[in-house]
Amino acid sequence: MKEKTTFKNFVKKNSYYLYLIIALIIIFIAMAFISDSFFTVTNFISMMEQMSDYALMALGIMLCLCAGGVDLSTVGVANMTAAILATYLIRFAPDDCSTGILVISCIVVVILALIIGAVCGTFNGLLISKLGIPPMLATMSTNYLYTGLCMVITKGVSLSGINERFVEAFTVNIFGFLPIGIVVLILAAVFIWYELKKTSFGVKLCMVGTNPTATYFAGINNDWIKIKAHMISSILSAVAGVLMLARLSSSRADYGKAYSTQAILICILGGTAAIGGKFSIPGTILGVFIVQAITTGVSMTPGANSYMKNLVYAVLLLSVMILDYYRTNRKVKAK
Amino acid sequence: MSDTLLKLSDINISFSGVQILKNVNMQIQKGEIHCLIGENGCGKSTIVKIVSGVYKPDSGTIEINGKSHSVMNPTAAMEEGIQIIWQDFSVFPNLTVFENIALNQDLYNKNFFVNQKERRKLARHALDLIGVDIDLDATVGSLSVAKKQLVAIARALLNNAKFIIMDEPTTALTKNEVASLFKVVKDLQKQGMTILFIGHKLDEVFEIAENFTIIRNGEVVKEGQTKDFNQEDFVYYMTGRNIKESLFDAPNMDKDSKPVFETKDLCLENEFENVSLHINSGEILGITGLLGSGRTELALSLYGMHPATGGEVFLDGKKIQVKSIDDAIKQGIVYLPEDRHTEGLCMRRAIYHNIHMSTFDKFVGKNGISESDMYDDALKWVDKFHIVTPNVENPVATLSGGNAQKVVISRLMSMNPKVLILNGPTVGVDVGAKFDIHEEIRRIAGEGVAVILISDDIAEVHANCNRIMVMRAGRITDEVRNCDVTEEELAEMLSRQE
Amino acid sequence: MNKIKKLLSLPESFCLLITIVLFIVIQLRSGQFFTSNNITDLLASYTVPGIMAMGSLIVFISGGLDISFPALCSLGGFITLTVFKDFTGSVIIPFLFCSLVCGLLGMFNGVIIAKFRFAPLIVTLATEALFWGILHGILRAREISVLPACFEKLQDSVIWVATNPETGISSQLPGVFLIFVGVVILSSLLLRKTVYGRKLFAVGGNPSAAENVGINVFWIRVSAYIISGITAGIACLCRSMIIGNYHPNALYGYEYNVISMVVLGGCSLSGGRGSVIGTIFGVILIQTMNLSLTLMNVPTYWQKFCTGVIMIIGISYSAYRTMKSSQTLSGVMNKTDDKVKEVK
Repeated sequence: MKEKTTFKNFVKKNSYYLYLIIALIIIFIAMAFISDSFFTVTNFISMMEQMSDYALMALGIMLCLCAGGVDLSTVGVANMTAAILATYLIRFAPDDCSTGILVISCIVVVILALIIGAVCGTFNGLLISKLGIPPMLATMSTNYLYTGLCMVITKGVSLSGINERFVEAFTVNIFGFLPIGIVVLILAAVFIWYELKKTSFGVKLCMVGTNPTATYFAGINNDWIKIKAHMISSILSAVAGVLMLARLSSSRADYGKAYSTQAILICILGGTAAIGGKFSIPGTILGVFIVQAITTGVSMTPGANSYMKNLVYAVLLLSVMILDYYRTNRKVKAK
Repeated sequence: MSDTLLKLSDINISFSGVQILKNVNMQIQKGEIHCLIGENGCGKSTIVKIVSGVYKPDSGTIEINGKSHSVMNPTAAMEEGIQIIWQDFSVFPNLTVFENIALNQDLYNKNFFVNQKERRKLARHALDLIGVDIDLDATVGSLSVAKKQLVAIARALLNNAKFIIMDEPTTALTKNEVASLFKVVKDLQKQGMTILFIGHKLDEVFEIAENFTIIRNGEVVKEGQTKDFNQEDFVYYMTGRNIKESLFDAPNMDKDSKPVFETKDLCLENEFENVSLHINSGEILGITGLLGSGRTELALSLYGMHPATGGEVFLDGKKIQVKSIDDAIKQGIVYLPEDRHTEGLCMRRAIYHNIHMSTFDKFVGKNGISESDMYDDALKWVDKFHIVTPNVENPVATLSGGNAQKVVISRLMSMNPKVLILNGPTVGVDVGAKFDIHEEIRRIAGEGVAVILISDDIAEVHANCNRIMVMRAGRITDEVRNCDVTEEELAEMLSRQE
Repeated sequence: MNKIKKLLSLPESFCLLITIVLFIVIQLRSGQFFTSNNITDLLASYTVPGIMAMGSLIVFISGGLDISFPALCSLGGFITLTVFKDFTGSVIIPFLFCSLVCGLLGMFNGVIIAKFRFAPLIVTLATEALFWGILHGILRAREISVLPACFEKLQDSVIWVATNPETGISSQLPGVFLIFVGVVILSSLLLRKTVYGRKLFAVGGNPSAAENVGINVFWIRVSAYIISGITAGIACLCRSMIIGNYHPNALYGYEYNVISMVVLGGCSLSGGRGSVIGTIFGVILIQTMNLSLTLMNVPTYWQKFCTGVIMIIGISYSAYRTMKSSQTLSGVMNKTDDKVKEVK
């Protein structure tokens, strides 16, 4: 019989998330001691601004991990998108253009980003599903390729001089305090939640990630599932590229290299299995909060430089993985 | 010195709080061929792992050659002359034949450097010991299953082996290959080797073993000499039940109606040709043949995985095309794969997800996909096919072999098929569950589904298929009704040389 | 004939073929390829990626994966160069020290991966962040523009000098190239002539079988990561000597370069398959490509893209070939049944 949804069972089933929440609370408490400016509105808005880029990537990577693969090309896609869009804006929407052209340009920018993301993701997906290239190698290679393409477009320099009104429009704070990035992130999260939980895509994705041979025999289209996962991931990366472009109002070929690693670590931290078959949207979101809190925390700690955050992530991730290993093993032994 | 090679006394072991072996006592004399039988999951493999030192028992003693061992590990076992041929042979598919054989010797001698010439000589010598000629430089991964097994046996012989334990050695072998294997085993016995067979195929036990021990649920229930017992006794002791299967005679078949499924001169280049079969609803058509006869290739072709290159297929009298698995499923043809672990199930996923693996889209309604509908629907299948499980949310890995197979059958039946193709439905399933599954298959046929049963288990095919087709080297060579032939005659048809 | 056909169908042979084609193309386009000083420059450039590729090869064969080695060796190298800042003794001592430090870091990787059976990609992704974090965050590494005195002799040693008669440019083949040769020879001996090497292949090919025959799978796996760390550390020191200084970010992102060399050379990412000679071909192919784009007057900002395209084509083709060969059906009707030989 189905287990009753009592509070005790709920806690047992979701105990991993509770650990994450506790970790987040501990970090917040630590921040209270470290810096006065952490719990201010300005800081929270700034944190929300920063987190949207890699959070979008993390959501996308979550899908690829669940499919039994990974996406290491998110940063390449983002940068390439930013470069292409920057070139477009500089040519077609210079500072003195009319409002009409600007509006059209903004719409074109968004559509272009979606198309670029879809194309990149499909390419990734095809390499992995049709050619059988291991996902790590395939996306590492395409990351190199997209970054290279980005350099071709920018000719290796930083492209600047983007229409200021565009920048304003894409860095606006909705309702005065919600950065547009967060709104986009929320929309993306809702979209992903819908795709994974409301359509059959989510459950199929988990099955394909667990045993693609069995799903093949069962009639599930493995190739399409994998391509779709990568398409969504690359589209989210492209959108992140648009946000990065606006926020930095310029485009360079190597922005945010560390985002890729960060995004993957966030997913694992949040409970998405590295071997595939499992995803966790709340876990990933919690992971994003934790990582952002750490990033800001490290930057506010006197005497710490920004590289320290890598240290903290790594230690945190490895500790969580090891603790979780002992936690699940203990459960099996105690029976 | 006594003649007892191995003596296990009061062995107890449990894992994660579950008692796997209880007060197991077993004795094997020098020079005998002994068989350890029991259903899947009864603890046979655990005994092997204890004797070979991979597991340590919670209590009890192991005596080898009269010497008591309180601590057993793989090295100590090897020094006592114990060699194990594991069920998966534990060979390295990426290394060559001589490498596989010689590596064992290098490990035993604790060598540092590798002398290729010596190793080749050694490997050749080992293969000669069992009278086999295999290309030393062939990559083991490219060999047939039978040859891989011979490599594993040759490897075992090198280290002064005195006692060879074979875990389920005949599962993947054809009748001819089993005969060759038994000849090798008997030769080894003549050379003074003691051999322990672990298995559950009864006819083989009778053919090869002098003594036996039967395990049920981790306890020894019977031991003795095979000549004093018959098959029915064995089944009784293994399962605790008296089971006798009747011949299936297609009681619900409508003899006047047209065939539900028909093929005419179906062929697939290099795999099979001129396959013409027909099946009415209510029938169970058996297709049998040795491994390598093309029967699996035919099944996969009917299922659209390797579409036929010639010939025609008819469903309900209408000509159809089956060019992909999607085509097959859409037209009501479903397939139970040979290897349920890798091809049929996602072991880590929930039972109810596995049951609906092919039909997720059916559960998408106005409010999106409904987990609760899937859950409730799964309960119906659990009920219908008597799947034993406390909770359908548990992973399939928690089920026994027979129950896991029933999950796959549920999945197939949930697609409302017209044609059900089963490939080896009771492989790796214990005797008790085997008969259960046969009953379910007969019921399915009774409901009007055309069932094609592909298997190399003669007894299974003979009892459960009202009509049987024999395949050899890609062609159908015989077609008989089960009531017209005996099992022995059927077996002879399979191995007949042309 | 059969043996030659088998040899030609190996991925290593294919890699060699493409490399030769590449040489010819570059020569045709630039006319400068087969000059003595160009070849000298190329040989010198194979040193660093080549040494690292040997370590990666060993890890891949054992069934593992390490993407943290550039970070690992940058950290190990920095520690070594700092500790031995004023050392004037034999250069072997800092090399041994660097091997020790990097070996320990590699062991850290290996133990976590082998004990907890975590996905190697995730673990080395995390340890990569850890190593960069320690290097930049805690140690605040800065460029070291002058190497310690103990390296001088080795740094200045030269195997030969080649001068291009046309352009007058001369290139030196530095002494550290011999270290590369040494590492290659040792790796080849290790893999082909020692039981340890065969155990690596065994563990990569079928880890559960390896367990069953009594191989200590845990230590084989850990030792592979230790070796990967040591070779990376040696490569870092060699690089410093070739360039003349140490920069903490010089090797950032270098893992893709090395991994693609090993993969194109025929090594399987899933383990159990690979060879030193194939990896050498892979190193030559990619490194030559990297260097020769300038020779062919390709602008700098096009180079990454061009290399990327060619690498993807190479990886795609080799994956395609693997896929095709594993898809063949059993060929039932063409089979001849081999008989068991009657011996006695």
